[in-house]
Amino acid sequence: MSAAKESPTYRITDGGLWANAWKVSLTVTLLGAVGCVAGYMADPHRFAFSYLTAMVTALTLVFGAIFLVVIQHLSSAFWGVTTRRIAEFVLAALPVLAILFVPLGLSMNTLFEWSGTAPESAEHAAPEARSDASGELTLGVAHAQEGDEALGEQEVEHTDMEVALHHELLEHKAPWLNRPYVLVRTVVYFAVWLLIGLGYFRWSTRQDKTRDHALTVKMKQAAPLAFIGFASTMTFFSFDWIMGLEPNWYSTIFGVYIFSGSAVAILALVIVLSLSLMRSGHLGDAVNLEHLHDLGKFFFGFFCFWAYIAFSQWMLIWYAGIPEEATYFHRRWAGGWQAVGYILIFGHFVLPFLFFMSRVIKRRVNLLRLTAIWMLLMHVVDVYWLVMPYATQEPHFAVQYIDVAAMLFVLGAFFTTMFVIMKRYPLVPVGDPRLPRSLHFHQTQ
Amino acid sequence: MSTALPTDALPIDDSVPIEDIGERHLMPADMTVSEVTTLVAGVTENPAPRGWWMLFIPAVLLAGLMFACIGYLVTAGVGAWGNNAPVYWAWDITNFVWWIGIGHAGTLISAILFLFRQKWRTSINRFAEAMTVFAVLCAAIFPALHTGRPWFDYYLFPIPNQMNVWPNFKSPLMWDVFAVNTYLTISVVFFFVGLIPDLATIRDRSTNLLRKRIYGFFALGWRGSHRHWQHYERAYLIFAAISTPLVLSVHSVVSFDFATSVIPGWHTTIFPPYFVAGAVFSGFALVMTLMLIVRAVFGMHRVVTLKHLDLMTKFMLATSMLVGYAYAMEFFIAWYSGNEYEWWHFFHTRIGLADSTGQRSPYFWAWVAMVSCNVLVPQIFWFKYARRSIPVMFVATLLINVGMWFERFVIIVLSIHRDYLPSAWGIFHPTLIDMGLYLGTMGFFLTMFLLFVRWLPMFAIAELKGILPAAQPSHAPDHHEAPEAPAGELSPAPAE
Repeated sequence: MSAAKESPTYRITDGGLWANAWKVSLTVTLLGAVGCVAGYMADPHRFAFSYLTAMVTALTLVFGAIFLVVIQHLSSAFWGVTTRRIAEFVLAALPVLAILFVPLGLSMNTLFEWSGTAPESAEHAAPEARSDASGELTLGVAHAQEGDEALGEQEVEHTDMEVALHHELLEHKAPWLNRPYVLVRTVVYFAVWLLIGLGYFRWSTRQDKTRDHALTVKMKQAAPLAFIGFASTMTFFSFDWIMGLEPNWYSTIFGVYIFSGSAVAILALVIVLSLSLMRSGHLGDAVNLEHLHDLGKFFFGFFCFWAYIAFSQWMLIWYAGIPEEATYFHRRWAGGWQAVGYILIFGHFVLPFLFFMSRVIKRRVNLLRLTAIWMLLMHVVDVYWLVMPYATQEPHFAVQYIDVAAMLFVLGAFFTTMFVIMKRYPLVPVGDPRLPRSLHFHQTQ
Repeated sequence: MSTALPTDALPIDDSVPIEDIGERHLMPADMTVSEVTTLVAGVTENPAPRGWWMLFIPAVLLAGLMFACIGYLVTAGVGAWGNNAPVYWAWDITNFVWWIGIGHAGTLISAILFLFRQKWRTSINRFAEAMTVFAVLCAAIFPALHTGRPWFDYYLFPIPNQMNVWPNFKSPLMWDVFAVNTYLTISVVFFFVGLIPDLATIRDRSTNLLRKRIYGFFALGWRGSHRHWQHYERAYLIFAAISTPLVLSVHSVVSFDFATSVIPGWHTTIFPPYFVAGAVFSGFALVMTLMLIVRAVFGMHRVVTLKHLDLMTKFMLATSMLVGYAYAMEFFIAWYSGNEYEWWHFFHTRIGLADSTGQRSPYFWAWVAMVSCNVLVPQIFWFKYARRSIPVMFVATLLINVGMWFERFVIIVLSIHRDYLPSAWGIFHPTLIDMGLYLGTMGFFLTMFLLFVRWLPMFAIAELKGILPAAQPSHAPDHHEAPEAPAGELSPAPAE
């Protein structure tokens, strides 16, 4: 673009917006930290859920980044080489999330009803009610379905039978859903993500210096295993930390749902950051309209995919109407959460679908940026909708300052780390043998 | 200029492979444009090789069997099938889903891989598109007959009538009618649009008038002008965009037939993407099986290279693991849900754990067949040897299609043969008509397919030419045709 001649090294130069971005981000983090402390003092219960929402939001960016980096190596793609480094920076900032995850490990008793209670406690809870557990449990939950507004009260006034059956269910799941085992698994998940994330970041940045083509081969060879490791850990992380919030609920597609949202989020982020770096002239002519158009198409495809997965999950549960499954949507269709549901349907799919379908929009930088920022916002709403309905006993939607503070703190810390790392490395994988192709890439269609 | 990158004079053109990162030429480097035309158009011009007849005659006989079975079934009634309480859906729906699934590779290759600019698709897309059309036709036979009185099948369409009788739009089976018909329509049109330039090529090479007239009629007056190409490319892109959601929608709707129910084994939320992955998987496998045969019979080794086959096997390995992921999720959730019916279905009926009375499922072997063929067999493609060995590929792809048939059988029959009432349990016994009809559709499919191979260009001639090394601007440095190339930077080897 116009500023190309100034920065042929594709590095963040001193004294620009980007050189100081981390300071802004750090300020936001500190503000968030103050809010978090205040929030934790005021309402530790709420804080745990707000913090989980923020962590999941940040982690989904990492999930998306792993996907975006690994899939490009897996498919030997060259169109995305010039923007790959941005996703790699997201990976490089992962260690900070590993550290920030520790408070969640400590607040599991607040978050999860299965955590902290010994599984044996259910043993002596109304043993006479234990025959044919699932059949009668179904009845129990069906009661709760009868009126929207009555849901909360019913949840409080469970009969002994219902309580016993619920215990029985938790007892059944105790070998999987118990604090030590979930913690061990979480450590494994993070180990896998760090291995993949930092591994790819290191290889790629080493290639900047060495120009060693063997690293490309290595990254490709590692890609299938990385993908398998990523897919399984991401799935079970979603099961443990999000689906586990409602331990009686289950959905086989849930991992795919989290994945689809993650892919949307990372593409939106890469688009926004690329545009900003381009505007500051740091990317030279490495990223042009052709790359953005391709990212835009991928992005469009993935938010349609998100809608497809979200619709599949909702429609099948709604159509079959099995009470044990319907609780998930039932909780999200009361106490003001309906509005969030509509925002997701229209904001995360219908409106961007109609708006962003045209090639013209994808190639108009301002509109592309607008859509990407909007979808990042929608992604936060999506994660909020996944986690926060469990923050209150009765479904009650109200955004609190704690939610905002936790989001600012976690995302702030994450981006501060990322912005600092960004200053130290080229913004484009300059050693990638496919880079020349990517630089000269034109869309023929 | 700003291209200050030390690019080490690496190629900017992706048709020039970077050898040391494992890239290879897709097509033989010495392949010429005229060779492509002669090879592909030649099949329709020369007498059929003996191998073609050896396949065609049994295929026609089998197709005859299909018509005989249909005739018998229509006169005798659906009772001629083995479907009976509690297994009301059996081979018929299994075959339907199997065939629809096979039809998916076509659209995936022609539409999705096109949007992803996968050049290797050009050697298989025509093939797969044709298979799609024939497979969907075979699939449609089963539900159409299963209605019991197929002469009333037009009731399935919302035709206004004086009795105000409408189909039940809330039924997933109705959605299927619309999904499959849409898919068939778009696939046929897409297939035909893609054929137009190649039909014109054959027309122009024709030496006898009848041939010229027939191919000329279907070539729609194609003259290969810039304007024609421009319209063609645009139409192709639009069709690709329309077809892409269809790849997902059709098999998702097929999965809704099961997943909207409350039957363990049928109702689970991962079904839509799981079915799509399975469909692509089985479609690719059959494309590959037939490709290997045709490649041998017509000597197309230079059009479909080992590189193509290598990529296809990797694709199958990936989709196999997607299917495996879905299997794993189903089993995990069957336990995790704490729902005893889910547990019973997955752990007794499928993997054959003995129940409290010590009984074992009679269908354990079906599940074993499905998992070993769909998940274990494709793992062989981790090895380079297997990705380059024709016999291994051939056997593996056949096994995958067997496995995918069993997958549908397991889902459909195993889920309903043990329902909630033990006294109503039963197992399914296929009749001769069941078997004859299934084999017959294979014959019908093969007949159509062999006719296609014989009379239509089985590879997309124009698209293949577009990816030949000779077609790239960087290919002939002595021509200096690319005007936008600043000398010394873009051309890889200007020194010569």
